[in-house]
Amino acid sequence: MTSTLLRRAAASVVAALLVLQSASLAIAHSSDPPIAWPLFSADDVLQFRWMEGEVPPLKMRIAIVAATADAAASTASRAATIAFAAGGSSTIEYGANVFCGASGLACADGWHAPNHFHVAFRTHGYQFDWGRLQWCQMQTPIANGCYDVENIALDEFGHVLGLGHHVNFSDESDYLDAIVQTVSRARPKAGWNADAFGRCDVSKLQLRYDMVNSARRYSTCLDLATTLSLAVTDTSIRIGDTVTFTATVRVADVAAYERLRTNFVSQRKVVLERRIPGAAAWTTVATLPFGSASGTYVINASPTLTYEWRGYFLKPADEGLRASSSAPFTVTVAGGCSSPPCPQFSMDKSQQRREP
Amino acid sequence: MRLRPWTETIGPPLLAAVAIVSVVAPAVASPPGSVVAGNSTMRRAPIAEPLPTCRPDLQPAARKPPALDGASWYRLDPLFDASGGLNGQRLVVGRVGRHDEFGMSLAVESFASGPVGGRILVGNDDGQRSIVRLLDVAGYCAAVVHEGRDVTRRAILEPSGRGMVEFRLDRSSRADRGIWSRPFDGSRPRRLLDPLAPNARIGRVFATELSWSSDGKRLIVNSCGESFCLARIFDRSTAQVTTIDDPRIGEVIGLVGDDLVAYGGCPTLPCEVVAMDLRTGGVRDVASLAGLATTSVANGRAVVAFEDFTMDGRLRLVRLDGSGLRTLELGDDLRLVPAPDRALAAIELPAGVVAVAAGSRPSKAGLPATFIDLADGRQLPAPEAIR
Repeated sequence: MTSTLLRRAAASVVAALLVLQSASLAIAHSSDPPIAWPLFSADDVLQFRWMEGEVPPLKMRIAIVAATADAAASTASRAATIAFAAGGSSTIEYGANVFCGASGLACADGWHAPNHFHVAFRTHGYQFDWGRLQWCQMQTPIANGCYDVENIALDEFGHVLGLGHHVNFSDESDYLDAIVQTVSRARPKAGWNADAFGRCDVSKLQLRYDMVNSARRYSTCLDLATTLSLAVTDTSIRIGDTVTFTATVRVADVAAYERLRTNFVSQRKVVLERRIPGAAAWTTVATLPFGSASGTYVINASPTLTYEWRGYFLKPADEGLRASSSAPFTVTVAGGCSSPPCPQFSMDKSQQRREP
Repeated sequence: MRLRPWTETIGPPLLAAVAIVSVVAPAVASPPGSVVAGNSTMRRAPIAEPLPTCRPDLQPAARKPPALDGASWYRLDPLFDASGGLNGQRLVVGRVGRHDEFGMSLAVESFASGPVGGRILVGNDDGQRSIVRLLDVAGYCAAVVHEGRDVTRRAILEPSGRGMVEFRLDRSSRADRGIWSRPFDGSRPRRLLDPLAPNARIGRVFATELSWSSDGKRLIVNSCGESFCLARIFDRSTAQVTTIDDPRIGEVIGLVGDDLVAYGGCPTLPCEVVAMDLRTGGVRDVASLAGLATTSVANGRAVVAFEDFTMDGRLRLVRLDGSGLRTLELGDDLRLVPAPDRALAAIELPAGVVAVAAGSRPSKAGLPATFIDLADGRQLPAPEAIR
């Protein structure tokens, strides 16, 4: 009885470990988790001022302002931008203790979103158990062990914009995928002076704030399913008639995709494929030119035989979108060639040439 | 403001010079250990003058429940060099209802703790040696209670007042040397807790804070990395150590009975507040979005006071099961005064009373804070001396 219980317990533990392992695999290389406070409005400009009586030293102020530019240049989303303005409603301070608690290099408070935020930097020379905090910008010359103000400011701005700490692999091999980290790195460890949001910061910003437009690239930290629909102006034609194929690519309608769900996906590569009805293999016949409407790809064609057709969206190598294909349909061609070899397909000359 | 005798002897010329210095360089540190006469703005420039030496009363300090009128308080403020780097701390101490505050400038590696029975422990490290002084606030004197080569990173008074508990670091490597009990009667110090073993979850230790349970029977050692914390609880009667290495438990707020009240594992505030039953290990929610928080005991029962960010930061008083007692709206800029390690300040409060102050720290001379009785949520009247 006891051994049975032990075996069951052991089996449960093994199962639990497997679940945990798969969960951790799922977590790693995923987007940063959200932070708990509300979001600022997309496309907003968050202006901050230096807190009266707790103004950072000039060298730190310069680095913090540089970090606002880093953020603006690397969110790749509609996340709010952060900018210094003497009359800004948000504040950045230097030397606070109450706000940050006993540990931490800096801290952020976004609970008053969408109105204002608050960021505090620990003083240069602050004494921790491990030693004195040194900000690299305050040193001449810069020595190892210091922390980069610009990097840490970008981390705090990530928090302000709604990012929680990235969950790394246990060996931290993916550390550079995010600026917003639980443990900051001091010089000269890799990433100590990274000055752009990492791909897994960007992915969460995209999820939470949306893309700037349908042509912008999705972060490779995402793995979004897509849908492709293909329409044709007529499914029953006579030989010599011209039809228009219109493919539309969108991000799939999945709740976890937050603001990205059902987004149109423009200016990628979509191909048109056909096969003899009943055949297994598809043949690519053309790459569809971009349509004028968001997410569309359009081509005119004059089929000379009856075929099944579908569109195929190829997974881009440089972004986090999955491939997808449309449901096939048949375009029946009447009055066509009956003794091979027959011309199979002709396209509007104003559009893309047939592929070999 | 009543001037101390030493200022009366220095004479007007020096005071005039001091006034000029205070305008030109208000944030420049004076030599560590020197005394600063306080005023209502606490900006008077330092005057190099050691505190008179006194032999503190070594009788148990838990003489009687502290009264609000005349209760001691302190706060620490950073001092900067010309480039904006930290080069010291200014300690200002005072008493509620009195206008007799005074101050000391300290080195960067320094701390204050208490007050207990009107006394404050002040640690100062000059890079060669750590010196811990016991300040008698009302007596305006200080006694050196420890001097050593290890870095005394933190120390708190024993509830009895007969000794202190200290956290030591090796001077050259800054390796943890453990938690020690040091009696003031000159007997040998005794190690209570071993150095903290390396812990991957919390990483490099940024801060180690010491505090006592509300009944003074258990010592809490809270070690925090850049984002996460670990707590060790030392029971003085059994010498048993309970280690709480749990991601649900962050910075400790207090220990009342068997309930360890702490922030959840958030890197910043607001954060949830939870209570862990040390007997069972069970964790229950006390508050979902708390800002500054503190624990106290009112009518024999634990109360958590916290800024509730689900209610615009109003002050909420709740039991440990999360049941609400009352909600209070504070005046402009008034915030709860939290635990000393977060506030870098403290007021010796009677049980069942919490303090709120501008910027969450004792600020004004005479009446450094406003006091709230947890039993009925009412503001206590200002002490007689300053009304």
